[in-house]
Amino acid sequence: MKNPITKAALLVCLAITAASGQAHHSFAMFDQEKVITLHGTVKEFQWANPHSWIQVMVPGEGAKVTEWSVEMSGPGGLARKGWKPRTLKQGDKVTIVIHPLRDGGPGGSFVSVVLPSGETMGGDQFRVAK
Amino acid sequence: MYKSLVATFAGTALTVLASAAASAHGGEAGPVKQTASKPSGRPPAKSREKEGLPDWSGTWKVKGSMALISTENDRIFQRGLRDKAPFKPEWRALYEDEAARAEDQGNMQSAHPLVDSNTVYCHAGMPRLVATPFDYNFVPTRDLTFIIVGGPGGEPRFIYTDGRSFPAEDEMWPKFWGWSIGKWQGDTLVTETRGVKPGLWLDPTPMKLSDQAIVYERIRRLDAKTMEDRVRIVDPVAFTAPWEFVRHYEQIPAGEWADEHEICGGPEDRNPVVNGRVTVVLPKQPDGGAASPP
Repeated sequence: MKNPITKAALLVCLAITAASGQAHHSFAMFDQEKVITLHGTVKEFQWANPHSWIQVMVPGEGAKVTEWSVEMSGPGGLARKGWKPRTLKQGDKVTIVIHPLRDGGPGGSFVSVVLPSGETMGGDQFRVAK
Repeated sequence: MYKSLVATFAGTALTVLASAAASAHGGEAGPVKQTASKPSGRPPAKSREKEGLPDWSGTWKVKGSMALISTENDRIFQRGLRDKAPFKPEWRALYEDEAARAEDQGNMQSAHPLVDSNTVYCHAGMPRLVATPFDYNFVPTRDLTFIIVGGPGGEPRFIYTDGRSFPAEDEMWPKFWGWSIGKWQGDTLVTETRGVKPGLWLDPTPMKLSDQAIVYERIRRLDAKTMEDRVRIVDPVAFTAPWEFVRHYEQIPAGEWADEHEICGGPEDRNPVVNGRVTVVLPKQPDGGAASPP
């Protein structure tokens, strides 16, 4: 079975940083040097202040399924990037790129998502774009 | 505690101001007032009323990094690549130590993490408000200019332009936003802020000022789509020299709705500070087990 989780330790040359989308708290718990690609099914899209979250169910080896928590910026910033409260819906099959938690837990900060339509959407990183 | 602080503050304020005046901010203007110990006054500001106020309408966003001085790649925690304030050696040592701890603020295994003051208080305070990820609205009125950072529920700055002086020394205490007065030079608002609460981070790294810091600013609209804030911080305790930097703001498209300030705490905040660390609340896994590394 193809491993649904592709890990790549990359030197991030992008202007995506610890400050990306950061506001009321630091994103230092996420490893900005790494990106992980998750292939899974949306369980819940939490359009919430202070931060929005994507809960995505990711199948692993055998029958094991892991629920990943993907932290985004707040609704205001996302809305300006074209996001809506129902951009993601329960059951959507998605591919999500994240910066993973440093402690190895099933969570990370959002980088981008490929929607069922094939459209790719980014987050709120425009704030630090050069 | 406050008495001690205020006494120290007042004792050095005039010296600081004299120094600041000698090297006027941007070579154009010195301090707004040099009457730190005078009681408040409120003379009318008729001249500005006649001239009219500049058009600073619209909503604005900081251009570039939230770090007060940008780096080549904006990686704020990569030490050695980032300019810093002109700290005295002991303050620089403190900064370096705390910067290392700040990198661990989300690390549950770290023995001594340091959490961003903005996370702890849910407010940035001054001078960090010069550069945040939030919306900015600059609202000049005759006697008082508001800089609203973060839209509804955000942090408004109050800059008095009614001609008042700072309060008498025994009437001031440290505030997150300090005490700000200003005057108009053409369409530039020249401000001075004192009495900022010490210990607040100046940007996403733990740069801090002493309780004797004074923040001077020159705020103006450069063109239709750009606002500018030229900042000069004088801190005789922490700095070897004044620290100057410039931040620009770009106008967001008209018709956008005001962003809502991020609300700390509450059931929807999944990043509580626990035991001095910023945490991520993860749900239980489908098999009923706790969230764990894959």
